[in-house]
Amino acid sequence: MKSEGLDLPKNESITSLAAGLRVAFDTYKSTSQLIHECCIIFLVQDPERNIFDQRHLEYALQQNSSSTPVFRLPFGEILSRTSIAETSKRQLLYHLPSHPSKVFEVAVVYFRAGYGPSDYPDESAWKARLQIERSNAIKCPTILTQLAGAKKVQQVLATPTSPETPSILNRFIKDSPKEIEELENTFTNIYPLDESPSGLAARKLATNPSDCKDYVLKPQREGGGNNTYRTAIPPFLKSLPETRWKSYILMEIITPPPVHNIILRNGVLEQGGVICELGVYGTCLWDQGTGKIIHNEEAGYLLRTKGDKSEEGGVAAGFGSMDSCRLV
Amino acid sequence: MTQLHGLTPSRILEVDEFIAQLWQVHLKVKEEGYVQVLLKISKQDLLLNHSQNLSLGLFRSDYMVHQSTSDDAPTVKQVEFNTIASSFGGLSSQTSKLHKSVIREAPFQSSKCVVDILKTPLASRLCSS
Repeated sequence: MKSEGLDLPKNESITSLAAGLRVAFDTYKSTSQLIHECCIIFLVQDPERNIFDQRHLEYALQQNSSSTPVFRLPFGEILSRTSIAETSKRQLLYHLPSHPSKVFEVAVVYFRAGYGPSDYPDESAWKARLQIERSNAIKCPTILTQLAGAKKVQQVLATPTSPETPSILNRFIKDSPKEIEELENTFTNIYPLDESPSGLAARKLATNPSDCKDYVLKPQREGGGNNTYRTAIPPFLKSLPETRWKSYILMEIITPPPVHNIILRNGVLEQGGVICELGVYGTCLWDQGTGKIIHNEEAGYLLRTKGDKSEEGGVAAGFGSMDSCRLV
Repeated sequence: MTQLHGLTPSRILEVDEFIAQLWQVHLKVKEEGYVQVLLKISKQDLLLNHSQNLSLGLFRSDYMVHQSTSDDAPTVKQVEFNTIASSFGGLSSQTSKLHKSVIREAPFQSSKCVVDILKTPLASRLCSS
């Protein structure tokens, strides 16, 4: 291994993601009639295990000539530390816990919590989410954008098409069959498990002891650790009432070519076959009313590498390790 | 994106209670916006009472290389598209810096040397975080 032979690409995910937040912050300030000094809220879990990830974005937002006030707010404290202004604009107000008379107007709410059921232990958590959603703050993301990330939506976009049922992508990409084809080539086959014709066909695949080996069963959840793989699928489905089956999607397993590498985890080196997953970040600010895109930028990458024997790839779930791309 | 939202609300709702609850929040916000528009008379008010139309996404699209058999050309396949709390953007830049630093500073006389550098506590924490 020679150092000059290794070409590692630039990875500016911190500054690029922070730039997305700052564009939203600046746009809010320039398009709203402000009633207080503006801030960005990082909505987090409590306790928050991803704080060391989030802090880098906070620091980047503060390293600017016009430093942006950023406050971390645990999801469970939304109702005690924010309120909605009694104006037609419904500005979201943030009250400093150390200084209750000091009020900030929240320009952007960055959600690092609220993506799973455990963030909503009771009715007040839903009330808190509603408070954010109905406010004038720019949400990252809105509840609709969150819903667009549901596995079910991915499945609807990626279910194999036929001449009778053309791709739903035609609704979003007009008059460019080549682009649709190229996009579809990046999809692996994903099926519903409902009672539609393709759902019924998928049920046969999922319950067949041999066919099931090419598939992974996924629920409508973010955040890893919830998937059922290959031959574990038929017994898992059998343990569920059939009425629950449609809450899952069946996805053809992606099979990467064999790669050999070393993974360091908890001070221990493990050598062997590995699987890599490349995440590409992007930031987008758009107007939902007009469809106008104000900002749309690529924002760095994440490479995660895991042993080829472990099925789940979540770094936080304790299976993978962070990695770098090497250009060859 | 807004068109996508209208795609299959009923099909999504019937599958998952959590998703259905999120959808209920959306409906409440929509209803409130709608009522205000009806009640207001002047054009200026209409503009002012539009709920926040600006929407921000920090997304992460995940891919893996797929190759059915060793004879097939490798292709890129999407694993999933994250629209909320897309994580590790703060750490991945740092991981890249760590690896660049290792390449720059390690003498590369033996692989053991690289391993020793990577095993220092900070590096270890970054790699396994």
